[in-house]
Amino acid sequence: MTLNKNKSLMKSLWLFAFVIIALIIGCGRMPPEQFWTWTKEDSTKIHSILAIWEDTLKTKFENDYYDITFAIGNVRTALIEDMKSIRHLQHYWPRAFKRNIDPNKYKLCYVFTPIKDTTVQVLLIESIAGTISIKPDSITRFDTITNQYDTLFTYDTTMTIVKNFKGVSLRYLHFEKVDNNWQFTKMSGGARIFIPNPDDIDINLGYYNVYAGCSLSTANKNVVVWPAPDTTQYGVQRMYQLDSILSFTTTDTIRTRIIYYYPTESFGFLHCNGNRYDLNLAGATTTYLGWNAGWKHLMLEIVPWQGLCKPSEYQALLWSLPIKVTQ
Amino acid sequence: MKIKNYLASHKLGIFIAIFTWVMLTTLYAGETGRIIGRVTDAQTGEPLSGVNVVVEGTELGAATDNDGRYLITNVPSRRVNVTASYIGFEPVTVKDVLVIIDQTVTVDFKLKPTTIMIEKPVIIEAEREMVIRTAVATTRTASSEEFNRLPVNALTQIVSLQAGVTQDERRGWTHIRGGRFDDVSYLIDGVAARDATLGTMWASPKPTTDAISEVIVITGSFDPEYGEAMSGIVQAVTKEGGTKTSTKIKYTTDEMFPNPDLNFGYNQLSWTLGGPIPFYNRMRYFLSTQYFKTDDNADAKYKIPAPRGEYTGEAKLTYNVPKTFALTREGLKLTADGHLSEYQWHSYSHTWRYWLRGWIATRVRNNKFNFHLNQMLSPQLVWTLKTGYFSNQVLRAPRDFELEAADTTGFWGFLRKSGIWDRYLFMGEDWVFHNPRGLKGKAAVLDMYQGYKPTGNPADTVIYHAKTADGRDTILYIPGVKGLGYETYDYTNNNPYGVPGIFIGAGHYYFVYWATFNKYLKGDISWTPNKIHEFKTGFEISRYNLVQYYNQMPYDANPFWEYYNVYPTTFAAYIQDRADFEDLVVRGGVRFDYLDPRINRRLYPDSIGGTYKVADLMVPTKKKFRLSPRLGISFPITERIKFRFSYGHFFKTPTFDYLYSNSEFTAMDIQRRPNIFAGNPNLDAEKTIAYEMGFDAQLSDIFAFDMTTYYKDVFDLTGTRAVQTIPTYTMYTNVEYGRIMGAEFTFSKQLSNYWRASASYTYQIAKGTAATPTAQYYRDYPIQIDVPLDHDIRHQANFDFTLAFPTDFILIPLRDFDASLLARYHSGLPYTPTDVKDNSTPIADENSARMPGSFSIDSRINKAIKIKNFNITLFCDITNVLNAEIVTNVFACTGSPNDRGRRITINDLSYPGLAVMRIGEYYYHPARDFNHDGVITRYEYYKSYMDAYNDRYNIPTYYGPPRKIRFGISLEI
Repeated sequence: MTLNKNKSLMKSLWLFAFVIIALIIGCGRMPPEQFWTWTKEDSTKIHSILAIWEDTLKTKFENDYYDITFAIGNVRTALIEDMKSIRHLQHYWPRAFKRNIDPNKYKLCYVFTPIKDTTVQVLLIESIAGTISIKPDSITRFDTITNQYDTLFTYDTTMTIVKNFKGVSLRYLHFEKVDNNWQFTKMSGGARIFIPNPDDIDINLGYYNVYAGCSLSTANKNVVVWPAPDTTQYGVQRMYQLDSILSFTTTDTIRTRIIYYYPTESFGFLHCNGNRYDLNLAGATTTYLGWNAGWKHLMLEIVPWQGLCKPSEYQALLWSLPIKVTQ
Repeated sequence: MKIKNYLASHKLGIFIAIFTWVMLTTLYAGETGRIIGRVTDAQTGEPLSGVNVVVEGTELGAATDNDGRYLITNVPSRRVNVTASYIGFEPVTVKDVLVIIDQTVTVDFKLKPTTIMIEKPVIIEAEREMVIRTAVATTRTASSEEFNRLPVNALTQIVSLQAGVTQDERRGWTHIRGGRFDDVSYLIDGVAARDATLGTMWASPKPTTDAISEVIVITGSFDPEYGEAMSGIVQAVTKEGGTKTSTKIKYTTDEMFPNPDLNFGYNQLSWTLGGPIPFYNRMRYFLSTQYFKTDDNADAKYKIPAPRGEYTGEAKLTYNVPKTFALTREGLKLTADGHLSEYQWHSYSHTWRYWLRGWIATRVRNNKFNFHLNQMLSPQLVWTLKTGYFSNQVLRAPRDFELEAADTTGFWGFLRKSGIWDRYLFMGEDWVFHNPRGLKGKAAVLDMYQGYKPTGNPADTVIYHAKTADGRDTILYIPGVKGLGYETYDYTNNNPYGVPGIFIGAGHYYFVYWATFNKYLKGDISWTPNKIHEFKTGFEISRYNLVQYYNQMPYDANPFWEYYNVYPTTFAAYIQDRADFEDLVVRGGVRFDYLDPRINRRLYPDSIGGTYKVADLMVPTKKKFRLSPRLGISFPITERIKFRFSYGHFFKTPTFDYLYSNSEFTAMDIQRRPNIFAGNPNLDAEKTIAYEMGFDAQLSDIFAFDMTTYYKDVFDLTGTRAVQTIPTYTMYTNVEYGRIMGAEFTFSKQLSNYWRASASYTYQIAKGTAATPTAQYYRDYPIQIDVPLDHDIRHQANFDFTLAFPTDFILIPLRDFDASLLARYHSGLPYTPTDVKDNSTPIADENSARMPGSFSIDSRINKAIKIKNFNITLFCDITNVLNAEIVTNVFACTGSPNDRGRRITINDLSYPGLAVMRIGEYYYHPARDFNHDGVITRYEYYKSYMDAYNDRYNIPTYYGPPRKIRFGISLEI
């Protein structure tokens, strides 16, 4: 009897042990699948890729005086209207200007946005500062005696007007993790450069309402570029695979034609390879860019007239288009 | 003059003497109870007079009278051995007699005659009285055995198992018999240990579980010596050093699963050491420390990041002064104890889920020192004197992770680097307490926004300002660039879905510091003129210092703020009689309470809109007095059956914060921030009139049953009402009412045939006008009728069952093995159904709907292995054995824990301007751009929004914890 009782107890013990083991194996409740988390190792790997691309992705301005050859009528009209309303203020007509980028004030930083699908978007921010040196062609004053705005006093001058200049460039890059290796796969169709910061631009510019559209055409193709996305056209605010980025050959001569812009009382410039060209906002500009094979930048700059014609802050909006130049 | 000279020339000696006395009196004796009994001849049944009955390990004892009866008073409440010896009879020791505070335990002896001299007594295991004969109200006790036997690891858990104690899991509050959470008085070794500023239990010091000797929960009426409570008393009695040196070390962990999601990072290490001072048995010590750390303290549906750390250190020294002096002839015991603890935890908020660094963390620091003198002037006359100091400091604010990252040097740096203790450093703490501009108090609180301005050089800071697609201003801060400070919290798109407006993704939350500093002196005299009466009278005086710094918007120059630094004084005195006529036990008395708020009050609170001169006219607040009579009667029918009845008036000073909150506000301050809760120094005491009837029966040697019905009227509860002035503001006032009734049933079986069990059931109706003081503020109109209170749990049942096998059990593997199972059920908490649209507009009567009930089973398994003097115990705790989904909260609009109710279609979101977003616009987020083409299409916009929405409203803290398994080992010598 005792033996049977012992056996029964042993059975109970084994059963109890089994239940405990089963409970342990089936322990707890799993949380929802966790999102991938960014690690220092990921950061290091992407930084090493960025180090290779950094020089290519940096914004490059001209560093010498370039004459202004196109001055559209709307600028002149705006200038006269302004002289009428602020008669005591000195206005001038710019003949040439150049930018001096202060290397000590230049900053470059990356903002990483890890995405739950194991990709990373990198925002490349350049903080650019320096001076704008303007050589006025003439200084003008409104004729307060005749009160006629089409009669301007004009004084020749040799002085140089220097204005401080600062801006922010924003460019988006995209990285994907493939087989545990990070790959640079996409970049935005262009960088946007705000001079100075977006919300510091004069309200008259309407912030994002600075629109421009242009067509870049060669003998073989015609590409329409918009700063805002378009489902059919090439856009600055879109992401492209690296092999889908705008490309030209070393021998291409590009004809640039602004097809829409706002505000219309502005100067337009085209930057390439450290050179600056006037952009005929009212017509077409034909430019042989003369570049070597590789990654380049083509920058379109819209400058409201105030920045170059009166003692206002220099303000501008630029689109820096990455160009892949092939042989 | 001679005395003066003497004092002057013996300064050092006097100082040492006082210091020594103080040090000696820093030893502390536990609370006490009484032992009575009768000694008879085992053969004839005749009473034996002159028998010596002594309490082992103490100097307490008595001799039996002509009827063979004896009475021993002033017995420490813990398990003691009682020995009766008489010439010509075999001495008998009754082992492990449980002495309960304020109660009388009966220990009868039957001595066998012998013709030979026997020194070694016969050992008898004490039969625990399952019916406490002298208890006139519901009194539940739990000894240290329960901590070893049941799957509980904290004092609050053992309290919550008692009938009549309910838990509001939504808020984490404990309620006794339907009272508010702050209606409970919490005592450690007879001294109030609750945070007096806000009345919270969670911020109060907790003895380590291994240091607890006994926990008493009085859910019914209580004697006049207990005050400042209306619904219950929780009293913990801590251990003191015994006659032999003993030590215990215990470690518990759950970090053994290969999947880290199943490890909750639970680690608890405790160590106790106690015994006599070497070579001097009269002085004994007991040391206790505990370290605790977990990664998830939230007890939610699954593991979530809510770390917590605790360390506690306690010391107790007792000194039984030799009886060589006239004053110490009957016994003089000096006790000192100290407690030091720090608790810190980082809270979890699902709204802040992806920016928890901005959410609040809490640090609680407790220090407690008690000095206790207990002297028996005669066996009938005992007096005690206690004095001490208690400090409780709570700081709640977001952590400063940058400061913590730099905190790597020194002792705390070492602990941080080694992963033992991450000392929390808080944003704003330095600014408030070491203000760089030398500001203090209110000025420092209001100056906080200065500390949260960007600290870096603006020239070095890249701040990208932008416009949203719909034209709103936004700011993008560039991480890694110095000094962006403490901005307001923001529903940015900083979350894995890139969706704004759903999760908080930036900024920081509020700052609050509150502290209670209390110096007290209490004394009592017990006189037992005969075996029937025990008269007791006593007093208690407390001098508080309450401090609060509060700034709800530290980033704002016009924040919601509070500051006070006040010194209220309380005094209480009582007289009571505990009369035990054997067939009638009467406990009655009266208590006198006095409060001096020591602060001025606004004379014309409704003149805020008038001239400041009138509005700010302040007058001293009147002092408050009150008398509360108490009466309890018990009718023991037999030794094992009794009826009991009790009636009492219970008063409680409203939690001090309701008196002092915003007391520094001027009329101008109120006009600047009128939507505040203004304190009212003139608040009266809250009052409860309670009736209770009970029936206790010990059905056999092992079975017992009790039943209690109760009714309580609660008056003058603190509430809020709008002060009709311009602007309107809200003020605390005695205006709310509560009505609670219920019945409790418990059934228990002592250990026999290797098992023991107990079951309890509580039925309760808790109605009233406001469950919390601020409840009415959130209603459109104050409720004038009784509605179910938020913590109204109608049905609650607990059941525990233990299998325990002794050392001599026939099956060797089961020797010293025990397994317990603890099942708990309660019906659902009430809630008010609301409109689906906003989840806040009521669409039915207040608290007219019920959440689902809750059922859970916990278990503990112990296996002891004895090797010589070593006792090794392996144990395993399994909580929520069934891994059941326990609902702790619901959406009021659906009654479901996981359904917010709203049905959102793509058309609901596709209003103009937001249908498509482009890269470079502020609200563009690459996570919403599934194909990463720089354009968020309408579908991507909808899909990402719904993903975020579903995540936001699938709240893990709306559920109880999953199954958790912990293993532990303890070594005892």
